[in-house]
Amino acid sequence: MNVTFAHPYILFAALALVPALLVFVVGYRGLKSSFLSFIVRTSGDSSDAMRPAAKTLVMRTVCFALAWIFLVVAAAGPRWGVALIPERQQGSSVIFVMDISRSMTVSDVSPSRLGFSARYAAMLVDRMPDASCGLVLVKGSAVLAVPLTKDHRSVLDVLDSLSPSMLSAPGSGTGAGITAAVAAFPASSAASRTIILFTDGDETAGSIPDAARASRLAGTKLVIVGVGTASGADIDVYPGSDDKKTTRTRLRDDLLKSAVRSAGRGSLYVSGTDAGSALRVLEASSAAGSSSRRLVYSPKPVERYSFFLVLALVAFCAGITAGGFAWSRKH
Amino acid sequence: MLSFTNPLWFLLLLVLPLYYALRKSGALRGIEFPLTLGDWNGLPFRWASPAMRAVGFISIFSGVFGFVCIVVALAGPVLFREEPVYSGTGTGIVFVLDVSPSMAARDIGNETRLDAARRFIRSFLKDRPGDSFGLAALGSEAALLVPPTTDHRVFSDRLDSLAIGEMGDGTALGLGIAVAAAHLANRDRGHSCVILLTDGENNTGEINPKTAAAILPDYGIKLYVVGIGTQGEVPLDYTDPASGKHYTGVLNSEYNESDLREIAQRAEGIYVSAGSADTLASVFADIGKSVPVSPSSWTRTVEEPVENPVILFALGLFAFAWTLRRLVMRAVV
Repeated sequence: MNVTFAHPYILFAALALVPALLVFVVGYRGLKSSFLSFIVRTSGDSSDAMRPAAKTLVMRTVCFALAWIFLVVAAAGPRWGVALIPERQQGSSVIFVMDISRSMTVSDVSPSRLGFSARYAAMLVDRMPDASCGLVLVKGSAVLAVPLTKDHRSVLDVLDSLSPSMLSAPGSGTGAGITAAVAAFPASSAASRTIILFTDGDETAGSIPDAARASRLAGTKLVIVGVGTASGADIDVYPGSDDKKTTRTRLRDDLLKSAVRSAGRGSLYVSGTDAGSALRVLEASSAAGSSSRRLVYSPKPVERYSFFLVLALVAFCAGITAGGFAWSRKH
Repeated sequence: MLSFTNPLWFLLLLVLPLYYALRKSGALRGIEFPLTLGDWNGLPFRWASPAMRAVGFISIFSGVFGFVCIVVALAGPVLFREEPVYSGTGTGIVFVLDVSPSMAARDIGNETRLDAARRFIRSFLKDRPGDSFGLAALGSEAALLVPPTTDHRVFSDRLDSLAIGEMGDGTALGLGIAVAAAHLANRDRGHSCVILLTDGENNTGEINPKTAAAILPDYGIKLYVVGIGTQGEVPLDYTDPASGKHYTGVLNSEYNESDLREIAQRAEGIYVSAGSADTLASVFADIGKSVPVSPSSWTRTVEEPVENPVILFALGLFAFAWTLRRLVMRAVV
């Protein structure tokens, strides 16, 4: 079970319990010393005189503290699980996410992983005449290079000039590319939403699975085209420097397959070099198909705040009544 | 419209009269310390002051109101609203904006020509959520900055970041029109238009603006040419983004309206001159009338949960009640 929060910063409000408990302890000690000194003066025996009241005080404090914690958790918007919500769709929109990290420059596929990806994506764009297409570039960070448009020429122009030097941020945070793509689908669009990611999976940030999971909850379909080979190729770690050091970069299809599993039903992983992979990608993106209206079921996260509100109410009522009844029975 | 997804939870409000009845009947009591009455050298008994009684009442009221808020949140308050949904990309509209230094002239009210153009473009955009907007800028060069897109946020962001002089010093009207046409050519005929906003005459670029304009009807693209600014001496103030040099002074503003009119005529389009904010507003209103707004494909009912502010309010009320009881009334629990 993967629990997420809509407003996680609200959880810090639970820390208010620390000063509140301190105030309680100080107040309780003051009360105890006054009460006991009075008992000693009047009856000379202080044993057990405070115990019933102390029990009730602690019980109430614990209950109120629990109620506060549950209420804070409810306010933070806890979510887990998904529910399938029917949604009408018409048309299709596709955002290509191109990994332009340095590992994509190796040539274990011809002419290079990046060149192969660009050609593959351009071929897909040509076969999606009715789809709106967009383009996200990702390296250490992600940037929306072309917003969703039917002007495919703009997408093809950028695909023609792909290079790691287009982004200065070092590293490879492919998950950020998926996140940027999810944000680039306008909310008022009825078109299906597909993200087609071209990558070798050789990322440094380890962010793909989380981003894939989030894309599922945003109602997008994730298609990953793995580019490269299992045997891989060597890449110069410090290009242009005298210190010649190489490292092997391979296609991480295990990671990419696991990301697709996280992305849920309808998502797909293909190896770019497999015969017929492009047809499978086109089918999955529903971009080559009809533009008629259709009903689809999109997964949405299930809000669980009511569960914690009930717990908070129970704890609150227990604090007020249980202590009172306990005291009532004693006397 | 406010509605509740689980109104049965409101039955929990019955707990309040039940609690009151239990307290009144003595079945449920607060914490008490039974003491024998006698002289224990303590302070003499005093009734709580009216102020303290008021504080006590407010703290109880806050606690009860906090309870009510939790019950309301449990009932699932939601706001329903109708939201238009667009399955297509609507009309493709590309704004070609002159960003030559003369657009920094401050003669449209208190605004520069570029700022005034930006403002009216933004309001034009707001009324057309289903259309695609593109942005091209021209100076000594021209470039498409945003292809026609339904992602209005991207368009607006780029429009806002557009700077005077970023395309060089000059006015390549022909290049600007050609760039816009190239990116609209594939759209359905009659569903695209170019709106050129300029204050100058063509003085650079490889393509003659009249030649560029003449190809627009072949692709069913409408052209609107808006001559922006006044003629004569106008104050000017801008920083060249390339050199960082700051220019300030008076510009002798003049452009050949007949050239702009002829460019529009070649494209079977319309030329209008806008020398003030009012005329610019009427120009955009006229363009708005002649370019139909794309209708939505259907509307969907969006359920917007509003329980979070209610829970936060309840948290605030409980914190307030606690503060009053512990810190003002000095109660232990």
